[in-house]
Amino acid sequence: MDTIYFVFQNSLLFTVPLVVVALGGMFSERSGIVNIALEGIMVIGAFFSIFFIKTFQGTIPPQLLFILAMFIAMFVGILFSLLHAYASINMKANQTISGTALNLFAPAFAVYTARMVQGVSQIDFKNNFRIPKVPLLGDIPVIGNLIFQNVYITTYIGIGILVVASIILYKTRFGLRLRACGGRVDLRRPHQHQLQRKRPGVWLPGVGGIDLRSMETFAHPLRRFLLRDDEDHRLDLDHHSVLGGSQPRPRHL
Amino acid sequence: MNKLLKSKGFQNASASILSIIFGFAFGFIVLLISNPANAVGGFLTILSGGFTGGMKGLGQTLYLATPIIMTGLSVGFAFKTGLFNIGASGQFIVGAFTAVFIAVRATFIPTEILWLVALIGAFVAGGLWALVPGFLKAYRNVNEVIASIMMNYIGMYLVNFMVVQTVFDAARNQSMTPTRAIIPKVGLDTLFNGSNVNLGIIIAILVAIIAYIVLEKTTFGYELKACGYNRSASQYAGMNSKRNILLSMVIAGAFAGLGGGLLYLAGSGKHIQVVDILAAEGFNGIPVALLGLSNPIGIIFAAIFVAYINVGGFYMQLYKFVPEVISIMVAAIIYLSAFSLFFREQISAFFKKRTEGK
Repeated sequence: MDTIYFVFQNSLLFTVPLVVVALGGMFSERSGIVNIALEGIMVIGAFFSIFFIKTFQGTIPPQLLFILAMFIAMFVGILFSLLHAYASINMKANQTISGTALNLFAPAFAVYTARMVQGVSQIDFKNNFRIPKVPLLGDIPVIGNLIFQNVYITTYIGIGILVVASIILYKTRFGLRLRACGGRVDLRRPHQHQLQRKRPGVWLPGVGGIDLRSMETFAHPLRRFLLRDDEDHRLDLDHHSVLGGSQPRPRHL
Repeated sequence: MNKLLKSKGFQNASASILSIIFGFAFGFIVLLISNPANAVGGFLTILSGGFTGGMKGLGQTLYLATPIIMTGLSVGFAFKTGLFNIGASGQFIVGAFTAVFIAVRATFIPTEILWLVALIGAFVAGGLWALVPGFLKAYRNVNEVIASIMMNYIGMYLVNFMVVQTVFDAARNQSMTPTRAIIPKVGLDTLFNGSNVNLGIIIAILVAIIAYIVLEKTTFGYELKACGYNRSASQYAGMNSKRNILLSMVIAGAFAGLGGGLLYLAGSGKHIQVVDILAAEGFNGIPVALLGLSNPIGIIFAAIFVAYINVGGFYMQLYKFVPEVISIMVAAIIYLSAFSLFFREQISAFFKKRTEGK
């Protein structure tokens, strides 16, 4: 039974970043933009939020720091994806090309900045965000073991985002317009102003970025991720630009 | 003169050159922000790139360009035919393994031709690896991006497994050295003293030229491109679009596979490492193809350019800079080249104005 709990808790950990990033991809896809840059947006979000965590660790209580870092990731993700939005909407650029450019840029920028600022490309930080047991709810038999023990707060945030995203997409006027934009390309032409509204749809991957951090428990992904300091560090760049679409592979991070 | 200025090729090239100039400017700004004191020296090192180390640097540029010409061709050829071959990495590593395997294990083949056989093996293996996404795309309409990304991972793990099973150097956790099948240097090593350049660069350029001829001058190439532009229309015109999609994917994969063979048989001490990382060269092919506007001849120059500034990035470490700035610059260049449509309009408007003014 313990094994089952363990497997379930850990799969939850891996699911959430995938879900959040996939939602980000979904918003762009539905609005008619191929967001091949998800991976790059994730990397840049992760980089800035981890840097933030490293800087402020110890001065701010862990869970608050964690949430603040998530907002940082979101904010950076928005800014970074604006580049993609600008290229594909205002400049009518080939979306594959600008997405690839973002994917190339993000890891290179992260490694470069990290090494210029602190000399090495790994950013070390202490992972003290794990909640061993949610008060009260954690005591519920079975369910408590499954989803209220050994969790990160991101798990619930991720599920919340999933719910909110579904509501936005199917139950609001914004969602309807967004879907209309993506469904018929020619519909967009007479309603240029609607294109502007698509942009917010690109921010979610930034949140996915910070979620990566919650995987640190096992694989020290950031060690391997931000970034190995061997002679072939350029490799990092490339296995990150896997362009996994909405499938960034935790294993390689 | 006017004709030249108005030609499409010129406008394309000038759009690329504009994005390169802006990309360099961006790189310089990054250098200035991060370390103002050394920025100028570092930037000049990037500019002098392959020339920094004299003939050795130039040879090294050509050596680095060889595999990315091939993967660039792979991506570019597929682009031309309307496919996005993001699986160059998997095809590359499978080709590399096949080449090394033949080179090490096919002892019955005479030494003189072994390298050639190994390269052909790499070519075929890369093509076969791309057959799967090509088949799925042509007959089942599966998105080739998804299929070939998956094939990247399958290829990487399979090669790791096969290296350990067949040609493993356990002491170093890598493949064995293919001593009997090193690609001949044909005097290039004396010309570019101290570098790893070899016949591979000539093979790569030849293949690019052949690809250009096939794409631009033959009926077959025309059909491939037609299917890329509009599958239904080409089918209506009596072309076998399924076969064409399959073939363009296979050809693209074969190029990437050959690139793997060329790199790992270069005799430069490069071995297949048993690590869970996708081959970088495959992904480096994407910017090369984009920069070369998917034109095989353009890809040769784009690959040499990327290799050139990479060599510059290597030497730039003297100024305490991190070579990743090169990737940042390449990314900026690619990003700007996405604006090429905008640039092209501006350029043609500029020339139009000038001629009208006269």
